[in-house]
Amino acid sequence: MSVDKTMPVLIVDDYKTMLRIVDNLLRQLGFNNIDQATDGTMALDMFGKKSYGLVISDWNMEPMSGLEFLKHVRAGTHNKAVPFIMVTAESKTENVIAAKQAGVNNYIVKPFNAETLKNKIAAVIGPI
Amino acid sequence: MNSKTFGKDQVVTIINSVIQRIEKHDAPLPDAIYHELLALRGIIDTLRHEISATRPSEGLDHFPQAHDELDAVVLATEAATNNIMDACEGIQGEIASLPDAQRQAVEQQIMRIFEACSFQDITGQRIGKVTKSLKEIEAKLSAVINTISAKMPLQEDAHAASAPVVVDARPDADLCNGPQLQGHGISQADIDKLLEDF
Repeated sequence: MSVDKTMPVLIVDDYKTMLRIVDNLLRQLGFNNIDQATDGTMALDMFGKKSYGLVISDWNMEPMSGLEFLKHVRAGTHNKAVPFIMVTAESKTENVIAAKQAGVNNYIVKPFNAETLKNKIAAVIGPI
Repeated sequence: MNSKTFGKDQVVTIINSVIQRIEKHDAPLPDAIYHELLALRGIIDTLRHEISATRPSEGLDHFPQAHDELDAVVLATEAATNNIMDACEGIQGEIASLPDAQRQAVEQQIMRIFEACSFQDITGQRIGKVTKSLKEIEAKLSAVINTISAKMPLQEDAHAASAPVVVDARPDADLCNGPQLQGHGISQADIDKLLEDF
């Protein structure tokens, strides 16, 4: 069954150029219902108000990081099992392990290309 | 003051040396500590001079903070990146009526430009790390100068305005290291393998 590309997607990054890039790549893939947040706190607030089908988040943000946002999502009661992909420049082994232990579904290291983003999303939510 | 370039490690070493001397009961004469502090201040001033050398029209009494200059670099690259992406989106609008094969070929190249624009994110994070280190060094230097000036009068005005101590209160602050230098992080393939083995 093909993925419903009208589902709401939440993308989170403190660099607006990266938000714009990911937004553009997602639209190229056919997604058209995309919300943006610039840090974990803002993302958590938005997350509580809508049932997102996918979250794509950076890690290193202030005041709340992507890892803390993920932990809050997984510990909450609203949509706690949402597919969550970390897209980040954090490339140490301990980062990947910490993210996986926190419940991340996939992990993309920056810089990345459109093909990688597509493949990692498909691995989590199904063929696009 | 000579124009020798000092690395962050050398600055931190000098600071630690000064702090250790202060903490020792058999601290050396104040002059030695004072001269080390002057050397540290000279390093910071040299760094500010070098970074602001691109603005020769400004007077010597208005040197901007080093981290402000680096923040300006991030803003400038962000503006340029947005201009590039604006142009790409303009092109996408113009090619809508082209035959499919041609349109897809052009869109593929546009996609490559968008991917390349992610440089701004990486460079911004790297500069952020440098800015953070500079703030830490300046805060520690201020703290040391304030401690010394409380114990003895300095021979000249140390201009030791207290810099705020930078504290990262995030629970995962130790995991927030930003982009790694080549050879120090793991690849996407390594990450994929790690996740599979979990």
